[in-house]
Amino acid sequence: MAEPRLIEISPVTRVEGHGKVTIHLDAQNRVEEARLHIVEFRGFERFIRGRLLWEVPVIVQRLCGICPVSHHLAAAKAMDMICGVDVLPPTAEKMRRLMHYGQVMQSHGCTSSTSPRRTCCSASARRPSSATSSR
Amino acid sequence: MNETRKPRVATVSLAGCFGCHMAILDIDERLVGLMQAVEFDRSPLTDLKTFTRRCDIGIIEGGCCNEENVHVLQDFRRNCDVLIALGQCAIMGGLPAMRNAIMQSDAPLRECLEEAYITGAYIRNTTHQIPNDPALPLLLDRVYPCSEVVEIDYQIPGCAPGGDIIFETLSSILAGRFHGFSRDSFKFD
Repeated sequence: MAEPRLIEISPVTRVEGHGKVTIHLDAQNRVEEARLHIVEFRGFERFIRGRLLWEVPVIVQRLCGICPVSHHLAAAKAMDMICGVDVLPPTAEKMRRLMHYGQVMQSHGCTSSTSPRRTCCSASARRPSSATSSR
Repeated sequence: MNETRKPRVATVSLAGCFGCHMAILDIDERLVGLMQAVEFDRSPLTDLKTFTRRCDIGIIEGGCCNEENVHVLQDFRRNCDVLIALGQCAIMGGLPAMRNAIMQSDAPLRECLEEAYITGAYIRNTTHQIPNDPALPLLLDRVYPCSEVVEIDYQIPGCAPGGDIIFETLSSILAGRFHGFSRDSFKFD
């Protein structure tokens, strides 16, 4: 009978980069547990506290250089909520949409047809099932 | 560098956001010429995860915030003749180094982890545990710039550096005639 084994896939190359998967096998070589690890921890959640409101959209862009616009817009929405803005002026709405479409184009234009598309953190955030560990 | 073979280039992202690697792509159509002039070894651009051979140039994005970053950086120093720190994180720690400067705190790292996994407003973590799987690399007490860990030969500043400055610096280093940046190439206002 085989020993319990651990298979490690690191780094996971089809996401932005800072990921690792470990698959735990039991003595019969059956999968006991599969875990996705996000190995990069930087602490943005804490160190944006106390910063000026309008600095934050620019700071959180640095969460991910592949999808900075998503983070920028998320922080902009948070700023809206803090300021009690519930309806955006039409120009602001259009500008935000334009920025986001620009990012989608940039993300998808850079990868060639021969390589599978890489996803980044905003893409995985839309599909929570792929971003959490399955037990 | 030996002229009979193409210079080999390796790149890696440590505690960075991949923005600097995206900035490498911002050299646009000049990338085609660069791909013909050099050979990429270990890099997210090639998906090679380890060095296949010794490289002439290693490009580092990001500083060091965990032990794995340090090991990878030391591996790059061992396997590359010239190391280039690309972008603010690699040079000075960048935005992640903001955690070094959390005021009035005895344990900034612990505060960051607790905010992210336990006390944050939208966290649903019923076990109140901070991830501690053995597969996770140990976090460092603070974020270190690359130059505090290994010797760095060149630094290309910017967050992220512009495509032009990356291309000009890389091509002049490859040609062996890098004499610093021109004043015009930086304009931060």
